Amino acid sequence: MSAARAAAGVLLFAALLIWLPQAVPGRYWLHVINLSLIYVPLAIGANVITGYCGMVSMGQAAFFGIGAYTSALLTMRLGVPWLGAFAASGVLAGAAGMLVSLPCLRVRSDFLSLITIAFNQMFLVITNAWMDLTRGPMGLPQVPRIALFGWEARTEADIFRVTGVVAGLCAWAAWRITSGPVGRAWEMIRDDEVAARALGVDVVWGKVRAFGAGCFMAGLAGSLLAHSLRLVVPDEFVLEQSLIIMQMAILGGLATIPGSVLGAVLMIGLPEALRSSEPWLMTYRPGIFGALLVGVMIWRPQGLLGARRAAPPVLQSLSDGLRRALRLRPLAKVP
Amino acid sequence: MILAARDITKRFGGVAALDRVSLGVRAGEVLGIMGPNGSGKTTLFNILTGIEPPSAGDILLDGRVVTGTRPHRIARQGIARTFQNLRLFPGMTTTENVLCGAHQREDASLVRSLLPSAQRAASEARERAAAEALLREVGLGDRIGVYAAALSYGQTKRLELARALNTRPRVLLLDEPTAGMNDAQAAELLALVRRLHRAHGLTLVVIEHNVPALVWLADRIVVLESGRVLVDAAPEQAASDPRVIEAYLGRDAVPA
Repeated sequence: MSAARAAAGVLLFAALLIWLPQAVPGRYWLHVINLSLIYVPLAIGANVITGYCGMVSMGQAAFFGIGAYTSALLTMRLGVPWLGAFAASGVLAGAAGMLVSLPCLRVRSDFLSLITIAFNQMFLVITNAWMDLTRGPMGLPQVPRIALFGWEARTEADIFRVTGVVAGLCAWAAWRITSGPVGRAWEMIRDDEVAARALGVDVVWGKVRAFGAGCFMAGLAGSLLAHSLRLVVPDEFVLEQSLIIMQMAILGGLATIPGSVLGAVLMIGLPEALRSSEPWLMTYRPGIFGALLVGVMIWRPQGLLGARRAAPPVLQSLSDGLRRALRLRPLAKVP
Repeated sequence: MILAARDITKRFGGVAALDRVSLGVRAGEVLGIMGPNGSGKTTLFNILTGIEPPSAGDILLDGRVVTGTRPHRIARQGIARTFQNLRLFPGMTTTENVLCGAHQREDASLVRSLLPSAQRAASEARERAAAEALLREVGLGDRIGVYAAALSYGQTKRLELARALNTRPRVLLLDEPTAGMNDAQAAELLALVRRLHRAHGLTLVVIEHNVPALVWLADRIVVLESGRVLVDAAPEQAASDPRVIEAYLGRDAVPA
């Protein structure tokens, strides 16, 4: 990308950050946008792990939670400035992710996903039970606002500027990494580990690193959540959240970064936006999104924005199986 | 010897797939490997590339023991291979597949790939051009940028060859490069292998069932039978050895 195009992109992004809060009618809508943006790094992180490296993490909510608790506790108990706590939540969640992925040395990827489920459950047990640190189910109230060098994010518009920048940076970083040699090595691991090894790829290190990067982003999102809702409770990080995060990545399209952004907006923004006018939607959300996902699997196994590449083999066979079961015509092959 | 096996034994349960096999390949040589089905040829390749550990014996690279080294490290020391049943990345284009071969030369740092760097962009462009040149060299010039899944069988074999070549190997192991091809395709592919051998100064180890073709291509032939080295000799000599004919065709076929 040329320097001129990069500069134009940054300017456009900055203009969007300034203009959007004025264009949106009312605080509530801005809150919906903020919530969606917080989930963008989560969806991208899940996509790095699953879409690019081919592992399935069913525990992203736990890393989200590690980020939220780290950031809240560091600012409240130790008086660490927000930016420092924000960075620390990414690093700690990333390190935890690398540790959790270490069993990939010995087990196949499908068993690794069971380990992530167990990790998510363990995280919930600990945060609910460790009263001294987390106050258990009561949670941590009055988390300080996002603050940067004397400036404080007091309004939803202020928060939007932070969540927008973080989501934008995460998308940009993921795009840079996945379109370079690191991303190619991840895709080699995903498609054929034996071939990847034969071409000199360190498969274990590649997997651990993908997990680290994906969970790092989840941790950053956790910090954003803690300081914008100003409350951290274990309920935000249940297993169902992990499934929703994974669903965002699959719905938007595995191995596409814009797809993850769309996935986060669709899965969080849309139901939140319709919460007041269509309250039934919240009740039926799991069913509606489940049906939507089945539909996507049948007609677009590569996801909504996953047009460039063929669907990953696992999803392709799932799609073929569904079509056979429902006696639908086979899908025309994506190139 | 660049690459050598010393007394390699490989047992699967009670069965010895390889039984004290010793062989080696000299720089610039084409070493042919033949033997009936189940004689341990592919197992030998898997052990030479570190995918499977031997039960006993050693692998030597430049005279140094590398037994137990992880496969990606062996690959990085210049041992490349192709697979009998093809292991391409079907969701990537031909060019991307070949670029995968360049992995060992690329800077795979997470942090540095975030920083803008003119040097990095230049090396990426250089690798892409080199990959396309390789595709043309193996006869896929008109398939540049096409998804690997869209190639014909013969073309996928060539693509895998180009990908392995792009690692710039010191020794290239080809596991039945002509498997599943008709005679004309096979002859064409082996002619390509010979051309590449000369053009790139390669050292090759080739598993091949077609005896006349292997005699034509190889400088030396090792015949494996039931996990043992039956013959290690010059091509014509190996092919006409009565023990080899017996191994392939049975005792009655040996001229008295």
